[in-house]
Amino acid sequence: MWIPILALLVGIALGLFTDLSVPEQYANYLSIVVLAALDTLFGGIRAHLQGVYDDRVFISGFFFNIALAASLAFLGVHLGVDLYLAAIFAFGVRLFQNIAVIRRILLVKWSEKKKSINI
Amino acid sequence: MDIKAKRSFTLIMLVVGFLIAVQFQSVQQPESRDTRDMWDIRQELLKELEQQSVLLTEIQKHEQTIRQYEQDQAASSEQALKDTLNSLEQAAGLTPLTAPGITITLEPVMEELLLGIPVGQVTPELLKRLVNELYRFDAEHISIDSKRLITTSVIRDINGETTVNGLPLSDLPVMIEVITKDMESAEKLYNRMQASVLMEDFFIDNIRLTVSEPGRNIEIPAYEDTIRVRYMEPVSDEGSN
Repeated sequence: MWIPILALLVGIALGLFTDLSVPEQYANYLSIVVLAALDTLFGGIRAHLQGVYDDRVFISGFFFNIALAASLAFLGVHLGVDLYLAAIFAFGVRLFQNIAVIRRILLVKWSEKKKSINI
Repeated sequence: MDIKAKRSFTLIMLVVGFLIAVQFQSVQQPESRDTRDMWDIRQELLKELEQQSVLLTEIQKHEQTIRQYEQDQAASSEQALKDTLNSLEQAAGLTPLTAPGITITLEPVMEELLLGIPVGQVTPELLKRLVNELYRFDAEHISIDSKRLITTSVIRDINGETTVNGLPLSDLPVMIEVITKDMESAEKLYNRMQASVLMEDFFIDNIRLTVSEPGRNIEIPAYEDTIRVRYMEPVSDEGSN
């Protein structure tokens, strides 16, 4: 469990130390990409906890969602419609749902553990 | 969690971490903390104000230059008009000219004088022929007996007297000054006149035509009368119709 968290820290460190920054006009894309990545990540965690985790679905979902979000934002910019808001909304809602599910599962697990200890 | 899932999570976490860091940096970058106190800011303001005044002075200077240029331009257009007027006057024959050219002298044939035959006048036809021939040989300006030929000049017989521009020619000999573009043209004109049949034509009328060597400073006077323009009208600017 601690290896992915370590990877996250390594990634953050890598990002900070490479001193890479995106031009302002592309900040929108990056934000939506980050959101898509987070959504997929939490979806993966939830699926794992629910025991329906599939490696291929996870990896493909990660990249596909990112690409879709970015292209939607791109289309939105060229159509003059803020389509990236739709992506943010969808990802945001799913993020909250996923986190809620994760929380419940963890709560159930925790209470079960407590019960078993008590008994 | 099996190995495969762990590996995928690790990979995705790495990517997400990287993305978040980049995003964080992009968002954070423009903001730098302002740590100056009031006096520093005042100093900065003073510096900027000085810069502003310098720039304003500069702008003023440049504007003045622009104004100067505009004035110069106006003046120069006036100058251009003057130049045009001058060149037009020159072309119309309203200015005296000194330029390379030749001088032609018409004088009575000596033999005839000795025989006592009265000296005749140059007939207008002959004179016209000479003038046409001269123009054909690239003469630019001609004066006959100090009477400048212009576009509307007439050579004709009035009451038995040959006149140029309405003024009678003096008795022979008569001098004809011809101006050409440059010395080379003058040479050419001289050679052509030497070879021309005009000499014989004049000889028939007992007049000897002598062509001087081309000279650098042939003077011809200006046209003396005012040019009356009767059949020309200025074109209106709009150019309608």
